[in-house]
Amino acid sequence: MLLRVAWKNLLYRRLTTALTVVAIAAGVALLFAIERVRSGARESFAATVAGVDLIVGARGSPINLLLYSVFHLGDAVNNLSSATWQELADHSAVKVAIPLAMGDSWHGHRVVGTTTDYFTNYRYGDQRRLVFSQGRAFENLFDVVVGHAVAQRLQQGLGERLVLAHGVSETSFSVSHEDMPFKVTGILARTHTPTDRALFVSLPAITALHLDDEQRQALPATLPLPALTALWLKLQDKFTILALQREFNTYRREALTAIIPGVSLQQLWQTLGLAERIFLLLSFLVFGISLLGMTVALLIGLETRRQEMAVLRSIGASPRFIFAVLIVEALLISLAGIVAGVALSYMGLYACEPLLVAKFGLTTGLFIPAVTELWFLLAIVGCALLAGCIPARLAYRNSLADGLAVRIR
Amino acid sequence: MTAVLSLQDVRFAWTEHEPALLQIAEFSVARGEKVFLHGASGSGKTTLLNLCSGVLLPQQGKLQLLGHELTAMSSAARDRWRGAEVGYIFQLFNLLPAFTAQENVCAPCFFSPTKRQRVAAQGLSLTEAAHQLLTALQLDPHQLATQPVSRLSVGQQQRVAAARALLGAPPLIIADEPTSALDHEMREQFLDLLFAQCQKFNTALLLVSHARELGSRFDRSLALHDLNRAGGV
Repeated sequence: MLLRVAWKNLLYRRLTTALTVVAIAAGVALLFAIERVRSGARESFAATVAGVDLIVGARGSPINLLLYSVFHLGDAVNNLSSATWQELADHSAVKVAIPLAMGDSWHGHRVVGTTTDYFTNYRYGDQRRLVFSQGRAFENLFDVVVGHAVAQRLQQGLGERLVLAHGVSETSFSVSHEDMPFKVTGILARTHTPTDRALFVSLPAITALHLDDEQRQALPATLPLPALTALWLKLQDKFTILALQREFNTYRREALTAIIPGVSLQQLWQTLGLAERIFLLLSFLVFGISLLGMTVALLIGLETRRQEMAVLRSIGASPRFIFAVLIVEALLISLAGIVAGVALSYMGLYACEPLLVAKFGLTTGLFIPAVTELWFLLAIVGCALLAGCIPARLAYRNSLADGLAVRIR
Repeated sequence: MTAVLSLQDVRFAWTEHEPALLQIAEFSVARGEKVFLHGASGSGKTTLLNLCSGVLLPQQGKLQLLGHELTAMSSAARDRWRGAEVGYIFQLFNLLPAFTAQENVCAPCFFSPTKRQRVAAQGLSLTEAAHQLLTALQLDPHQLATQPVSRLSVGQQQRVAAARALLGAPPLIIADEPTSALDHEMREQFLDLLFAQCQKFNTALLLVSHARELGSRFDRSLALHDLNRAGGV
């Protein structure tokens, strides 16, 4: 009877009910979408690089080193010598040393000079390997491997000739190496990391790009290695990370900075996390306001429903029943709002996912509700119940005072 | 005759410090009796009905419904007792707006197993009993089964309210100015139908109104100011 009375009441006031449900749905949708994007951003962020124990660059800010070597954001203030790479690669505690040389671009996408160790040793996410969706790694001087997002911009795909430019802007006014087109020999499968948006060439290719006109006319058989931007190190034994970090930070031959990617990622996230916390706070406020709307709608309805409560009392309903009717009404409105809101947020994220992936490398893990989200839902229902208690309590007091005759107070 | 409702030395005031609004030495309604109580507006008629239905409790005195002392019952027990033993008709706005007329008629039975049992004892389902009552009150039950109550005239609404009060054959029907919104012809017709149904179920009727000319149609007619020693508001 309780559910029936509440349900019928909501249907009878269908316009108010629908508007209240829409307000709650909007609040929940915003809250959920922001939480999804937030957790997606955090996970994508943390999953950017795995299996690299230390990142070494020229002496400078650890966060800056992380930004340019992992996220391809900004530039290194100083470079490393290739001799340091050789020395670190030969270090007994180092298993693999992957060199990275940056500074050139193709339509705003970073060109990374490296070795084929990058393709075999780089890990992302849950220790996932890079996979070639087409072709193979570079072998010749003018071979280039492209990431998934770069491949989307190619016209022909494999075998296409690309002209790389110096600098990193989308429309580069700097030198284009038009006389040295690179041939696409491999396309990497999507990783949702900055790798998708990069192009990879061999280290000698970077040197070749920076030769003067005269030198380019007669390329020597063996080109010297270019200056390096950073080194990714994989160690023999993870227990030596801290000792090696200290050792490389006090390296005598060259001033170096060695960072542990996981630690620096965490520090960087804490810096960037303020914005996401503000967004979350705002979405909580929006949700709070929509709950307030529900409470106000129920409260306004109460005045016109006092005679209805008196009728219910006359047929045997207790004040507690009337309290429960209002609570169930609030619960039904909020549940409908929550279901509609979650559906709305999923639809919105589903529609926006290609954009989120393409622009930000963000995956939101659609249709897999996290445990925290279930708690979230419970908390939302709890808040709705608390908000429903205000009109319910008033209805209870009204029905006690009114009895079977509505009195003006 | 067995008393359905009995008040003895009842005193009621809204607060302890206020003078008594009602002070009644003795008042009772017998089973099947039709009692008319008239009084001016604001004389405490509705308050007396709230006492008789157990919504309000007197500060002193005995208040019995079917021999059970209401002042000794918990609030929840009084609500249950009222649901089972009393049918109530208001002056206006009698019906739950979200329900159809038929649902309104059946609603008290959802709160009272006793009323459901009485309907079952007649060998009827709730819908059948509701249809019988609506037909007896000259309403079309099939039309009312799905019709929102907002589409009913005031006269139809009062008859639906009467059917609701009568369903489950409660021993007492309390009616608070049920005819004040009806014209003379409708009022007479409504009372005819109500009396006939009360007689059929041997239900007592306590009807209060300020229109004292109705009194001649009842077994007993009383003025509240004769009953109430407190002397009004």
